[in-house]
Amino acid sequence: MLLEFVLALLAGILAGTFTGIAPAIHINLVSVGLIALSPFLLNFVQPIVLVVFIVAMSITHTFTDFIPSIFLGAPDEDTALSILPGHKLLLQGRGYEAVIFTLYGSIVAIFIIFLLSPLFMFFLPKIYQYIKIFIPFILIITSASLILSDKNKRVLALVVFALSGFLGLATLNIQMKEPLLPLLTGLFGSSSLITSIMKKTKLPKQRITKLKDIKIKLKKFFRVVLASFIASPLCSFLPALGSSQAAIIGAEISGRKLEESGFLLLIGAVNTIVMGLSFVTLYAIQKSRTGSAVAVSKLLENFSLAHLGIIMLAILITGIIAFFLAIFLAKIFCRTIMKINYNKLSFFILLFIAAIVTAFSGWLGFLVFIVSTATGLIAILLGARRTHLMGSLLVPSIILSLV
Amino acid sequence: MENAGLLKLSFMVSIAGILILLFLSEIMQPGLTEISSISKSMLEKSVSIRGVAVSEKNLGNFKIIELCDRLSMCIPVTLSGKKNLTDSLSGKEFVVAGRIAEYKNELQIEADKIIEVDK
Repeated sequence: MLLEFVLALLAGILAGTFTGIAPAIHINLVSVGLIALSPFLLNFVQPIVLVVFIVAMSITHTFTDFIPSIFLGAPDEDTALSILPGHKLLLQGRGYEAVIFTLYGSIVAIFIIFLLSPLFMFFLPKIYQYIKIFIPFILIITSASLILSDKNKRVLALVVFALSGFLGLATLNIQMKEPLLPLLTGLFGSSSLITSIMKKTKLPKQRITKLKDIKIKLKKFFRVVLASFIASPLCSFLPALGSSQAAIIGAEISGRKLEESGFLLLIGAVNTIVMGLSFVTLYAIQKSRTGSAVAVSKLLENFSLAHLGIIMLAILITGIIAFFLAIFLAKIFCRTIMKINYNKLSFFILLFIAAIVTAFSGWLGFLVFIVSTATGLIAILLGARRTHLMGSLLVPSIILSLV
Repeated sequence: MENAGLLKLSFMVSIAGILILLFLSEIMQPGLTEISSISKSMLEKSVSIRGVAVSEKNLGNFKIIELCDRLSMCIPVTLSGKKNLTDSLSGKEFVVAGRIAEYKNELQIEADKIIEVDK
């Protein structure tokens, strides 16, 4: 059994590395495939072994998925917000640092998950019904705060928020596979790639700074950790809220404007906390909030405390391994990207993303991709903050929670 | 000038595209599926079914109704939303659009939309 556990963990880390660094490939796709194969696989292994694979894959994915987002401008739905601060640092020759900030966030998140889990297990079943009532108000306040905080460009902010809001409503209401893929890839990914190609961006020499020299001010660090501590758990168990919304709420909670390092730290932490706590949520209130948690719920008919213990152990070991693995991969990306014509690479990535979107979401997905790219370009060309494009998820979430 | 042109084009594509997508989201519903043809191979697929609610059970934040078609084939449908939870649905005919899911080895529909059929 121990050998099976170790093999499942390592296989999961490998799978999570692949899904993390391959643009537009999501862990849900692998999870769905695994569930389809499970009747065959369960002839050879216990369900908990497959669960360990899914957990290891999911947690590793949250560490590695910022690498293509920052270096290639190719985000997925959970890393979309990292594009702007990550790209900014990339253009300063600090792409590697940008990835490291997200990894700092993710590794701290592992310990936050352990701190929050007993609270979740004890309090969540008691208070879940009451907290749900407040979702629309949390979202409305967050949206209003986002727009109002843009002091000089509130009208622009509202226009971008409203446009993306209508786009999100239309997209999520259409019968389509993987609607978030074309939506968020277009809004944040391809729009950035197009402007990068138009500007004929030449990447400066990328520095691989030593870890001990990549620092963040202690006060900022604690502010970000506190913000992720508050925002992420809400989004781990409440419906209609995910990592991106958690990051926005966390940024608003943290008060003052976060610099690139702070925001990347926040989004790294939030991404991993939301994933890790989704398994605890499944145990506490039998609700699945991520694709991985859905897969685990299908494999474990009777989710016991012992199962949760194994999952937590898998999260801890995976987090530590994934941290160092992601550092290694970031170094490889950093060295490789300097040898490639970035303009041609951006063009190729754009075509690749368009192909992936069409393959997974069909011609409707491609249409959404074109429209969301245009909407993302509007935000960039008007100089509006790209976070306002999160109206695409916030508006449907508000309406869903009010209905 | 180049940026101004791109901005105009982006606005046109964005607004026209959003209107088209909103229109498509209203008119594109999956055609009706017979309950008897629903099987495990169709898990996660979106379907529309029509039938009469023969029973309903309130479970706090969601409701389960048993929807039976004219061939007396039945399937559980899970619903959420304030209106569905408060109104009585038994004896009424509905078209339900939702996804096929499995719970404790039994197939069910997780409803996205439920529309009462006028007699």
